[in-house]
Amino acid sequence: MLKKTVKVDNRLRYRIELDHDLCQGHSVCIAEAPALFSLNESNASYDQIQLITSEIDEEQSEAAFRAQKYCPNGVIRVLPIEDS
Amino acid sequence: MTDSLQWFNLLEQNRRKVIPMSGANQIPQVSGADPSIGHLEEFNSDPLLFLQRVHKECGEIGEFDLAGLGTILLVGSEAHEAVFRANEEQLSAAQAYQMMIPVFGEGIQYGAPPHIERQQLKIQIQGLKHDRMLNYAGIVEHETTLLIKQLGKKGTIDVNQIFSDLTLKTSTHCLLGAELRSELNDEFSTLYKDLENGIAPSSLSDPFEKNERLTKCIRARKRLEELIGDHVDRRRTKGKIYEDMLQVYMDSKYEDGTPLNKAEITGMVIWFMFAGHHTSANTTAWTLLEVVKNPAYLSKLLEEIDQVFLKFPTVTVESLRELLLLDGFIRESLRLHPPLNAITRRVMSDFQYKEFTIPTGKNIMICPYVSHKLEKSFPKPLSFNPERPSPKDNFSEIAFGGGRHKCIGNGFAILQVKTILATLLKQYTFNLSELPEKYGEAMPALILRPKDPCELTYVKKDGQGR
Ligand code: HEM
Ligand code: SF4
Repeated sequence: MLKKTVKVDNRLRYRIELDHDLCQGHSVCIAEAPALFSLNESNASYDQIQLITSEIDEEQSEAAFRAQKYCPNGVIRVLPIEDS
Repeated sequence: MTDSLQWFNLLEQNRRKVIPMSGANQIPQVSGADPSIGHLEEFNSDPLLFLQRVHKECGEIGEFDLAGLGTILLVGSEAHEAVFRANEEQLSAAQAYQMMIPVFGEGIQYGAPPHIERQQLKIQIQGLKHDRMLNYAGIVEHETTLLIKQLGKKGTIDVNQIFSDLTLKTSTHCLLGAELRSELNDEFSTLYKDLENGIAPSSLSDPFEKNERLTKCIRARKRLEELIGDHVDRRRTKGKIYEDMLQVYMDSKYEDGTPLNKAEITGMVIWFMFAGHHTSANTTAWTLLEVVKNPAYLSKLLEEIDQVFLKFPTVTVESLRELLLLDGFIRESLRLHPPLNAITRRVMSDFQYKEFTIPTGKNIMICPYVSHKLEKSFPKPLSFNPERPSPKDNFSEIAFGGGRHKCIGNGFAILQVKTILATLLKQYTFNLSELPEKYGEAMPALILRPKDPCELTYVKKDGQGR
């Protein structure tokens, strides 16, 4: 079974959606995109991922997609912002 | 199952008999329950065959009876998601896995109160954070290279045995440090085996059943506590700080400031080894077997491995990421041969799934082996295809479970299996030593692995002989 790979489209802007239920605080996301994510000490079983900023600027898009790809739990979804 | 036609006829008759025609919210019951012990005997003798039968007969949801313990098998990504997202107050893993208490010890994981278990889990994950992972790849490569020295130019290996030994060394080395790894003697492996044999299919329905298996297991745990306790003392005397899990356990404190005592440290070690050792060994064995059985992908796989080793002379997290087809092989092997197949929860308050109410006190079971063969999630489910695209959702592929209790070692497991196989495949060509149909499945101690003996022949590639 092959892992999904998503290509960055430079014409688009992206936002991030997190599925907190699934996060176990492995911190792979932080290693990939320290400008986007941090861990929040939580009272639950695991420390929880937190978004530093909801806006991803262009230079951060690649890093955001890498975090999505390598998070072992599928917590992170990078989605294009629909033009309004 | 000697006569499959007869079996199917029986199944058809039963299907008509057991599934209620009216009252849509009644959970379908599987046929063939013995009046006193229900389906216990059938489950214990071959859990996977039985769970497949439950699914065939009942579909997405079906109930069976393990000597009075009503158990509901739920199949499919929607059902998995509902279970994996439920909280502990509703669906409890702790209550379902009481059989682990004699193995890990009182006061550890499910033998501890929930707020302590939660803190222990948090301590476990400290050793699996990304920064620690960077060290582990090199250690696994080193251990595999030591194995290669023993293998020499050509010969025959039993994959179960060789990978069980190797992953015992890699896990101990990564998690407990080089010293304990070098002290890994026969006693350690024997004790460890006794612990593992403490668990059998019957443990699910009767976790504290008195038998020789369990007595040996409890004795082994006691002895391990002495061995690890001594090691901890020696470390404390030396005062040197190590980069391994044991150090994490030794340095960690609960929220109230109390450190872990020696029994707890031992319990944490056993918990970790127990969760990670055989699961990884079996995945390595299955994947190598699938590599050999699927020669159509072999040249592409070897090309990938050669390219990556050209670019990165040693194994690192980065180089492993580029081994995409090998990753595909491992995940597809985990799909068809998932090591853990009775993911269980106890219903603590009535659980609603679609139109069904699952009452308090029952067990819910999820079986990756059954769910990974759903046509809907995996087209042509029985064929091995390492290039199969992953399902879009997070809950179809569940070899590592999902949600709150998902395997915290999943990144480490993949890193380990990948490193071992890349290192071996770079140097050796492997072949089946028997006809392909001779390689079957076995599930002792509730973990699925290739049937013994599972032998492959190997020969070192040209120009690499010693
Ligand atoms: C291929 C190898 C592995 C497989 C297939 C596997 C599978 C699983 C599964 C299915 C669960 C979930 C059980 C449930 O929900 O009831 C689980 C939990 C767990 N695994 Fe693994 N595992 C593997 C390797 C590892 C390794 C290497 C480690 C440690 C280094 C590990 C540590 C754990 C722990 C601590 C849990 C319990 C998490 C919790 O209760 O919240 N596993 N594993
Ligand atoms: S988002 Fe993923 S990688 Fe990041 S901390 Fe959570 S589980 Fe780990």
